[in-house]
Amino acid sequence: MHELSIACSLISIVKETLHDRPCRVKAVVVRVGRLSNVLIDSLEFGFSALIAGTELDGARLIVRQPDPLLLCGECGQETVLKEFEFACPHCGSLNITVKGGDDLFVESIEVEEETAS
Amino acid sequence: MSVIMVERKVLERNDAVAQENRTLLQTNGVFSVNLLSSPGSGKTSLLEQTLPRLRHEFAIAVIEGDIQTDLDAKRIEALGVPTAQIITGGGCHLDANLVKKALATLPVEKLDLLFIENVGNLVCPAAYDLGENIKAVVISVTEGEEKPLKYPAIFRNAAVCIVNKIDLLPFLNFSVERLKENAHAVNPQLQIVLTSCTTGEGIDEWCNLLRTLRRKDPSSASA
Repeated sequence: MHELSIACSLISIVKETLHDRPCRVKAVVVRVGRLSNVLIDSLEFGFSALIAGTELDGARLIVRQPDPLLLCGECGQETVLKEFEFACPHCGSLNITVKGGDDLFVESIEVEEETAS
Repeated sequence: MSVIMVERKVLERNDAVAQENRTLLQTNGVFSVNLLSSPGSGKTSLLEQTLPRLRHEFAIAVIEGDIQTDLDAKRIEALGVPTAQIITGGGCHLDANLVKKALATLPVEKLDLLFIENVGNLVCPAAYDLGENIKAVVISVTEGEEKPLKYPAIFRNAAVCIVNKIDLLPFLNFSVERLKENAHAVNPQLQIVLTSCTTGEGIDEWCNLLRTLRRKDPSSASA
């Protein structure tokens, strides 16, 4: 249930980035790692509830969930982590680092510029 | 339509405050432990066993995070240890800002050791850096051996796993070996200690581990 506070944080990043730029926000693209314990449905629900009636009303939340990468410290191979098995599938080593697993980023904002009428 | 590139961490504000907490604690030589578990695994009981063993050696304080009530804080205060209570009022995790406010009420400059008892929850607290030195996750033997596989994020980020309530092992179909395998599959570096807060078994080992980890930490060792 921390998705609501995560939605709050990402909305303030969007507002900060845009300042008073005269535009309509069409979409916000976020990257959520598969190990970040964020439930996407709840995040989307929280986002839409929080932006209703604000200047962001109508914006879509686009969630990207790239597979984390497993880097082996022994054989140096890089593998996509599919199941949560934290061992190198090539040499079996447990000396691994996971890249991108707990990512939680606002990647970009898609806007439509408002032309002065 | 245009695309504005942002690439900012959603929790950057939390992480920035966590860094402030970390700096404050480190400059004062305080080693801090973020205690995490499901509700009822025995975090407060573990502190009740730990504090009397360490309080003559270290100046200790506790930050108690609870959804409601100050019942746990009263248990800790009864031991004569400075305690700061955070009641989240339903919030499922502590964040760095709550800890910052709690730290302001504690004699940080006099402390050696700080325990932060997080809200009982194995999901949300994993995402929030509080500025601690280590995370220690407590699980009890009644919870099953699969816990590390079900909650990999928290077990991957923890330095220590305390397996509590081992006095109940004779009555349960729980394999300590299987739990260790699962925990090490998720985090090979995880140090595992078996404890019972009822009999006191394993508590000295946990205290020794804390001493070692504190000594290894450069900022607290030098203070």
